[in-house]
Amino acid sequence: MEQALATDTPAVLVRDLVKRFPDAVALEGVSFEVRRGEILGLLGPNGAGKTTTLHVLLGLVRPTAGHVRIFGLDPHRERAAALRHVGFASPEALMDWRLTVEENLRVYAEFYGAERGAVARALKVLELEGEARTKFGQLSLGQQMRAGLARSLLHGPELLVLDEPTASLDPDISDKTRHLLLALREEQALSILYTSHDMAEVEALCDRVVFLHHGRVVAEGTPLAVSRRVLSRADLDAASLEEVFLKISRGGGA
Amino acid sequence: MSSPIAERTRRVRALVLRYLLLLRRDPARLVDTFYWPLIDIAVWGLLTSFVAGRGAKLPNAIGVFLGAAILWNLFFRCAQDVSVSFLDDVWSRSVVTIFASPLSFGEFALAIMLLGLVKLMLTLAAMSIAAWLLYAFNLFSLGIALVPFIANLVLLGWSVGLVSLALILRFGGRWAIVAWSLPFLLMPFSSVFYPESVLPPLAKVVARAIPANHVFEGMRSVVMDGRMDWGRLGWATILNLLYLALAAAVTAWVFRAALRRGLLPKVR
Repeated sequence: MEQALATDTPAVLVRDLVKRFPDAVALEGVSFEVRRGEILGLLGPNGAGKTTTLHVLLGLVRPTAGHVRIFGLDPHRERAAALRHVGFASPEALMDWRLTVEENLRVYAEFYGAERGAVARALKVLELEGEARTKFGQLSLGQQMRAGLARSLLHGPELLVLDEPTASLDPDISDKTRHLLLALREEQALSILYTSHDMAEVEALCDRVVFLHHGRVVAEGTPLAVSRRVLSRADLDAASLEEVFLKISRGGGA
Repeated sequence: MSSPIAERTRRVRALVLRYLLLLRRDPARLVDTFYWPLIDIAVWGLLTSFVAGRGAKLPNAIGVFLGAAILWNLFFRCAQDVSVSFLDDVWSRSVVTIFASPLSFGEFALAIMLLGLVKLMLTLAAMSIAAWLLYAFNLFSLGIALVPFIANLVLLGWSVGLVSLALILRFGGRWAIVAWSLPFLLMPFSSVFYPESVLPPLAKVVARAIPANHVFEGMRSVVMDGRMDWGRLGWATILNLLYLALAAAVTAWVFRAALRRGLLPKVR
């Protein structure tokens, strides 16, 4: 039976997460949470552990120690119950290249038990109606990403996990996507966990950010608070995450 | 609101739907399902006609060879469909998309095994119609014995397919070749087109541990002597159930190891 979500739990809870691979340590005690209705940016240089964190959260990689919860549910032990509330999009998470966009979305709509009309609605929201009958493999990278976003929205998730969702999009579509995400948060109280290397975008979108470096959380807070602390400039009146990113990447983080 | 069983059924159905859509969209899948099996029927039928025309003393030669060709194809399709269905996701880079959803690995495995069954039916229909039209051989003249023969080959196909899938999951897409080669590793010991008695002594020992060997021996017994060898059929069934349980356990273990080692998002 559909499990009612506890209302007193955060959308995402990550506690003391450790992940050691045979040849590397990816995460060394990462903790953070995504509150209900919040957009949280998970940031850091390449290899910081962002994608591993997302993979643990999505049940794709088992943690060595620590735990993750999605609305209080363990995605490793209560997989179906936890992941049915999540929409996920990433340039690395594609769909079958031989099927059309519409066919792929139909399959995933069935997969998640999305309501009738969900495919048409998702195509409309992501402005993909013209590409509905195009094979997924014939789409541009940007169109593939939009199709991935459409897939992630099919079942009306309460949490969106987005790994660099605007990486391949042109500025116009990127801007529309940002507005869409903000609108979804407003209308549906959607929680969003978001990774990006575009710091201007993060400043525009995120309520809070978590910076990872070498598998550890090195800064956490609102973009402005993190900028003030990491850059040691209490007088800053606007966030400057680009500078924060560079400082952390070059080893001068908090 | 729906029950967990209804949700599981819906997810399995969605995956089967996707693979069936692929059958329509991807000519390579049609070639696997119809083209190669029909070529086999044509070649084995002609070879049998040639051998029979030379006065070879083999009762019901057409039934022996065409029956063997059809049954071997059913086993091969079933084994291949399990591993190639997974490879479809590897090549499409959709493994992460699939497994970041509520789908469990068990549901995934069940879906690709069921798909193998659907495609087996299509191949069976095409081959038996072609054998009847071209060589007047009616596969269904084997009678009710056909059902346990096919069921045993399906079980063995699933086992071999699951082991291939586990190898691809563990070692990556560069091991894709096992999807096609592993079933053929069993062929020399399966006595598909010749009796077990012609095998060298050591090969005979191996053959007795291969369920397909007992199925093909049993099929020849029905076609040539009109006698059902229940002993061999029973032995094949016991071996198959054992192997399927082992293959499922190994594949589940490899999947859990893949989750620990972070292989799932990296499989290419």
